[in-house]
Amino acid sequence: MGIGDLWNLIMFEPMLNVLIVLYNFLLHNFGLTIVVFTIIVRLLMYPLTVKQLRTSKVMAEIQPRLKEIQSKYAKDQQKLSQETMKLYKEAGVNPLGCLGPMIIQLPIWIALYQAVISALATTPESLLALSQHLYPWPLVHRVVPLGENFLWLNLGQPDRLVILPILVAGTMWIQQKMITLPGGDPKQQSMNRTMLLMMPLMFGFFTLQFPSGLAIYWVTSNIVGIIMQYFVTGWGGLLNSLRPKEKPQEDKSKKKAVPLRQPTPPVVLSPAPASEGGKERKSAHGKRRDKRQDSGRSDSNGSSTARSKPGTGGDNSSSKG
Amino acid sequence: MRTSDGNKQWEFIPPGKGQSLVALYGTPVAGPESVYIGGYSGVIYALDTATGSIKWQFPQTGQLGPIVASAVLSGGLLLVGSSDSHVYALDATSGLEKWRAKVGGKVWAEAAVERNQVYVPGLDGKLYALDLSSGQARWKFKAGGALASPPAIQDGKVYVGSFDSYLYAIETNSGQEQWKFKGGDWFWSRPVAHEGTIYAANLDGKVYALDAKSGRELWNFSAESGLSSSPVLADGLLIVASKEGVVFALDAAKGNLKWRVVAPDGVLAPLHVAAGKVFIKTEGNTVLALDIASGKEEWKFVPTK
Repeated sequence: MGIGDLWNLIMFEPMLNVLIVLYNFLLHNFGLTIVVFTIIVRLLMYPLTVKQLRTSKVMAEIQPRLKEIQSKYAKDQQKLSQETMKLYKEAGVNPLGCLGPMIIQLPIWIALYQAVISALATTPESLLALSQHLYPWPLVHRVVPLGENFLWLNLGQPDRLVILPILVAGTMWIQQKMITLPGGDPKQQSMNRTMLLMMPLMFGFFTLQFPSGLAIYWVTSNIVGIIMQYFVTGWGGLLNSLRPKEKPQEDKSKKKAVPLRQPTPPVVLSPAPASEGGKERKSAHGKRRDKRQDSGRSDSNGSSTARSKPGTGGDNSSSKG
Repeated sequence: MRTSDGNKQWEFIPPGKGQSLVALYGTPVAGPESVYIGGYSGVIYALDTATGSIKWQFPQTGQLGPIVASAVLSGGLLLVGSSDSHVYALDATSGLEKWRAKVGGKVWAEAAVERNQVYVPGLDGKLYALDLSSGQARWKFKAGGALASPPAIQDGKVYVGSFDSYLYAIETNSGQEQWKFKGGDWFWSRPVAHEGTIYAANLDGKVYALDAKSGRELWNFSAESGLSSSPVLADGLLIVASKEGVVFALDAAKGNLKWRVVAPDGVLAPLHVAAGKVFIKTEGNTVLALDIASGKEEWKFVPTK
C-alpha cells in the first residue's frame, strides 16, 4: 500500500463519505452540507485551534522583548540563546508549541478540501474516480452525483456574480487583521502589510476560477476562524484599524511605548508561568493588553502580523486547503 | 478513419474559446450523409461524412448545457440529451429543433428508441419514456440511484443499470418494474440484450449474464478491474474492455474466456463492431482494431499530438 492509498484510506475517504451521508440529512443541498460539514470539522478541531492561537498570541506579544534581546546580545550567541530561552520560559511558551496543532490540522484541511472537490464531480471521469472512493453504503450511492445548485450558485462553476470572491477576500482580510498585533521592525511591518492585502486578493482571484463549492468552504472556514479568533484574542488588530487615528493619542502612546523597550517584561506576561490555562487567557484578554496594542500601533504607525507564520499558519492553511 | 487500415480521412476539432479544446464524450453517430456529435461546450454538430466539415450546428448561437451523451438517430430525428436537463429532438437534415423535453436531471447517457417511444435515463435516477413525435412524457420510472447507463430494449422490456448497483428490467408499456438484479457496484455501461440473455458489465469488474425473463444470473466473468466501457456482442463472443485496458472476449453462452489482449492504456469508451473487427478507443486516444475471432491486432491508430 502506497502513501497515496494510505492517505485515501485514513483521511480522504472517511471525510468524503461522511460528507455525502450528511448530504442525505440536509435536504439534499450540497451548499448547506459544505457549510455544516466545515463547521463540524472546525468545531472538532476547536481545542487544537485554540491551543495554537493562544501560543501564537503569546509568541507575538513577546516579539518586542525578543527583538531587544537579539539586538542587545547580537555579538554573544551563547548569551542570546540563554536569554531567549529564558524569555520563552517566563512567557510559558514553547516556540514550537503552535506547530504541533498546526501539523495535526493541516492534513484534515487538505482532506476536507479534497472531499469537497471530489464530491462535486462534474465530468464523467471525475464521477468514475469518485465511485472508487465510496463506501459500500446504500445511503452514499443513492445520492451521487450530488446536486450542484445552491442559492444563486452552481457549485461546480465559479460564481458569475462575483459575490463569493468578495466574501472570500473580505473574511480572509478580517481574520488576518484580527491576528495583527503591533510592533516588529519596519521591514517586517511592511511585509506583513503586503501579506495582509495580497493573501485575500489572491484567494479572491482563485475564487473567480474555482468551483463555488470550494469558495463556500473557504468563506465558512474563515467565518468560523474569525469567531474562534474572537474568543481567544478579541478583535485584535481589526479594532485598531477601524479606530480613527488621532495625533495627540499617538504622541501619548509614543511616550507609553518607551517602557516596552525596557528589559523589564510587560505586565501582561508576568502572570504566565509556563501554563496555558485560564490565567494566561485572562491576561491575554486584559484591558492592559488592548492598551498596549494601541500604544504599539501608534508607536509604529502601523501594524504587523506579529503572529505571522505560527498563528496564521493553521487558519490560512485551512483556507488554502 | 478507414475501417480497413485505420488511415485518417479527416479530423474535426470543435471550435472552443481561444486555445481551449472542447471535450467530446459521446460516440459519433453516423447517418447516410452526416456524422453527429455533441461537445462538452454544449453544441451539437452535423459533419459531412466525406470531408468532416460542419454542415450545421445547434444551437446556431450560444450553447446548451455540456453534452456528454451520444446522439441517437431515429427516423430523421436526432435525439440528444444534455446536462441542462433537456432532451432535444432535431431534424437530422437541417438541424432545426422539432421539440425539446424537460427532465428532472442531467442526461449523460444516450437515449434508446423503440416503437415511437424514447427512453431517457437521467442522473436524477429516473428513466423517462417520451413520445418520439412530440416529446410528451408517457411514464417515468424511479430507480434507487442515478442512471448513467444507456438503456437496452428487447421483447417489451427496457433494461437500465443504476448507481444503486441494480440493473432494472422495466415494462416498456407501463413503466412497471419486472425484476432487478444486484451487482457489486455501479452499472455505468449499456447492457447488451440478445436472444433472451442480458449481458451487463459492472464497475465491480464483473460481466453478468442474466436471464431476460427472470433476471436470474446465468454466469459471471471477473475481469481484472472495473468495467465502465459498454461491451459488444459479435459472432457469439461478448467483448468487454476494462478500465485498466485489458480486452476480454468471452463465449457468450458460457462466459468462458476465448482471448485476452492488453491495450496500451485504460478503456472507458464503448466498444464498436464493424467489418469483422472490434474497435477500441483508449484513454490515451489510441484506436485499436482487433480481429473479432482471434483478438489479433489488425491496425492501430495513434493520433499525433
